[in-house]
Amino acid sequence: MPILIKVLSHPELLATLNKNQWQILLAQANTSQLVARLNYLMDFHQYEKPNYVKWHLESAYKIAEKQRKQAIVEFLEVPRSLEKTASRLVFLKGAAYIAKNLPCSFGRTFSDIDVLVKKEELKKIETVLKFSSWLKTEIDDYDELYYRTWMHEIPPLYHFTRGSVLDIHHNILPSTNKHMPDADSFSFSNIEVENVGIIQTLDDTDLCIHMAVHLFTESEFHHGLRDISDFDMILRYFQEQNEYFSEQLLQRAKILGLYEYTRLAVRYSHMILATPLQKNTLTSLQANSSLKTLIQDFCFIHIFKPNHRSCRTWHMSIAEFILYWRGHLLRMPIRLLVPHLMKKSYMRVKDYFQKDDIVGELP
Amino acid sequence: MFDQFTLPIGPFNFSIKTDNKSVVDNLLSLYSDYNVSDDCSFIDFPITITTHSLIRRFIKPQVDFFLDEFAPFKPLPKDQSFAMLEWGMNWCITTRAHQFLIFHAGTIEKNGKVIVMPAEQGSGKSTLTAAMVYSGWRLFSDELALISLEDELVYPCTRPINLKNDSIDIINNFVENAVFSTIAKDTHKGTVALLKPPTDSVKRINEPASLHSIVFPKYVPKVEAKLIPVNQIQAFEQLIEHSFNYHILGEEGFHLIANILKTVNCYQFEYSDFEEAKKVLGGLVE
Repeated sequence: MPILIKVLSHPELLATLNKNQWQILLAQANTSQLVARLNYLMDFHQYEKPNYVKWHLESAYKIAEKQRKQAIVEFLEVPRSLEKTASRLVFLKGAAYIAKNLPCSFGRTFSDIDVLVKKEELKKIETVLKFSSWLKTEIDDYDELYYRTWMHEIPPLYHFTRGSVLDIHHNILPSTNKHMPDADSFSFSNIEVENVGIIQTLDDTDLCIHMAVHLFTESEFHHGLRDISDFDMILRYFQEQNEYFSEQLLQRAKILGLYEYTRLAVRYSHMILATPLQKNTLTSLQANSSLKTLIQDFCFIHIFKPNHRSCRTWHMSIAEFILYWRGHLLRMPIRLLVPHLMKKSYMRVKDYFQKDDIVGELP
Repeated sequence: MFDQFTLPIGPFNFSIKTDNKSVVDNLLSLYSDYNVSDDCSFIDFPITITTHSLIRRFIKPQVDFFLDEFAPFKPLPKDQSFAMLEWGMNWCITTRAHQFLIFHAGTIEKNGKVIVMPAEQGSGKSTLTAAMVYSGWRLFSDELALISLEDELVYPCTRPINLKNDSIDIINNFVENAVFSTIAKDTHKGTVALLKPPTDSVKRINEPASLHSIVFPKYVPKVEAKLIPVNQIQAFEQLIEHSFNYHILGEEGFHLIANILKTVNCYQFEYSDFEEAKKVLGGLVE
C-alpha cells in the first residue's frame, strides 16, 4: 500500500517516519496535492516535524492558507455584487468546506470558487458580474457552445484585479447525465462566516452527496486521492458528532435519487482510507451483482492512488482506461459522446502543431 | 545513460539526473567547487533533464525539465538545456521555498553586510553582481534574495551567474580567467551564458548574513556613480513589485518588510562604470 494512503488512514504513523520514508511520502503527496494536508495532520496531532521536511510542509500550507483567505474575500464580494440579482447564491465544494470550517478545508489547495445559482437568473447574473470586473477566460467557440448546450455550469470567470476564478453552476450535474437531479431538491443552509456575515451553502448530508456525485461521475482522476480523502475527513468529522450520520446520508441520497454515487463514495472511503463505519452499513454497500462489485473494486481501489512511480502498477492504467469510458458514458449518451471526443482529439492534434514553438513562461 | 549529481546549494539539496552531455559538461565545469556528491541526503528538488519525446531526439532536438515527474515548462531547443536547468532551479525555489521572503534581486556581501539589489529583467543587475563578486564581494545570488522569515537573515544560494547578450563580453573583459558555460543563442532572453561563481563564495555557501542596505540599480550611460536615497513608502512599493512570494506570505511578508525598513537604508543607484560602482557600494559597507 502506498505510504501516503497509509498515513492518511492512520495519521499516527506520521510520528514514526524516517528520512527515506519522508522522501517518498513527500513525492507522493506532491503529485496528489496533499502536502499541505500532511502539514495540517502533523499540526493537529502536534507531531514534531523533522527539519528537512518542515519547510516543504509549511510552504505548501501557506499556499493553501492564502487560498482560504482569498475565498473568504469572495464570500464578501460575490454576494455583494449579486445582492439584487441572484435570489439563490449557494457556495459549493472547496468554498463550502471553508465556510463550514471543516477539517478538510485546512491545507486544501483548490483553484475555483464554485457557486450555484438559478438558471433563469443566469443571464442577468453574467451581465452584472461583467460590470464587477469578472471577465471570461479564453476558451474556443466549440467549448463555449458545449458548455452552454450541455453543461451544468458556464465557462469560468476570473476577477480582473483579485485574480479569483469563479465557476457558476446552475445545476448539480450536466443535463446529459441520466441521473440529473433537480437543484431545487437539494437543501440549503445558512452559515455565519467570521468577519463576513451569513452566506449560503448546502447542508451537511447534501454537501457530502454533492461531493460523492462529483467524484464518481468523473472520467479523469487527477485529484482523485485528494477528493476521496476530503470525503473521508468529512465523514469522520460528521460521524464523531452523530454516529448514525452515514446511514442518514445514504437515506437522504436515496430520496435525491443519487444513492449509487453516494454508496460508492462511502464504500471506497472506507476501503481505501479506513473511514470507520457501522458493520451492517458496510455490507449494504455492495453493488447488485457480484461481478459489478468486483470490477468496481478493482477500478476504484487502483485509481485512488498517488500517480507516482513509487507506487504505479499496470492495474492503474487499466483502471484509468475503464473509468475514462465509464465517466464519459455517464456524462452523455454515446450518440453525443463519439462526435465530441472526435472533435476534441482533432483539436488537440491541431493545438500540438500550432503551439509547439511557443515557450512556456520561464522565470 | 543517465548521470546523477547531488548539489547542495545553501538551504536546498538538488539532485540532477540527465542524459544530456552538455548539461553534464557544464555542471562539471561550473559546479566544480561545490560539494558534488552522490550521497543519500534528503533531496528537496529531484530534477531530470532529458528528451521526453522520441521524435524530438532527432528532429529539431528539444529537452524537457522535470521536477520529479512534473514538467512545469514546455520543452526548449537542445542547445538551451543548461540554461533551462538554471531557470528551472530558480522556479523550484521561488514556487516552493516560502520559509523565505524572496526578491528578484542581485545579492552580495562584504564585511558581513549584505546588499540586496532588486531590479527588472534586463536592468543589468546580473552584470553588476558579476563585476562586484569578482572584485572582492561575496556572491549570494544574481537572481534571488532569500530573507528568512524566522531570523530575518539573508541566506546565500550561490550559483552560476546568468549573463545575457552584450554582458557576456563585458564581463569576459572585466574578469580575468572567467569560466563560462556553453553559450545558448536565441533563447527567450536573447543570447545567454552562465558564469562560474567565485570559489570563496561557494566555500562559504552555508553562511547567512544580515541585510545592510537595499539598492535599486540602474545602468545609465556616462553617468557618475551615485546613490540617491529612496523613502520608505517608495521602497516598500518597489520591494513588493520585485517579490516572488509576497502575495503568498501576506501578513507575514508585510511585517518582515516593515521590520527591514526600520533599520535598512534604501537607495536608487545609478552607475555606468564598474570601478566607480565598486567605490560607491564599498563605501556603504565600510
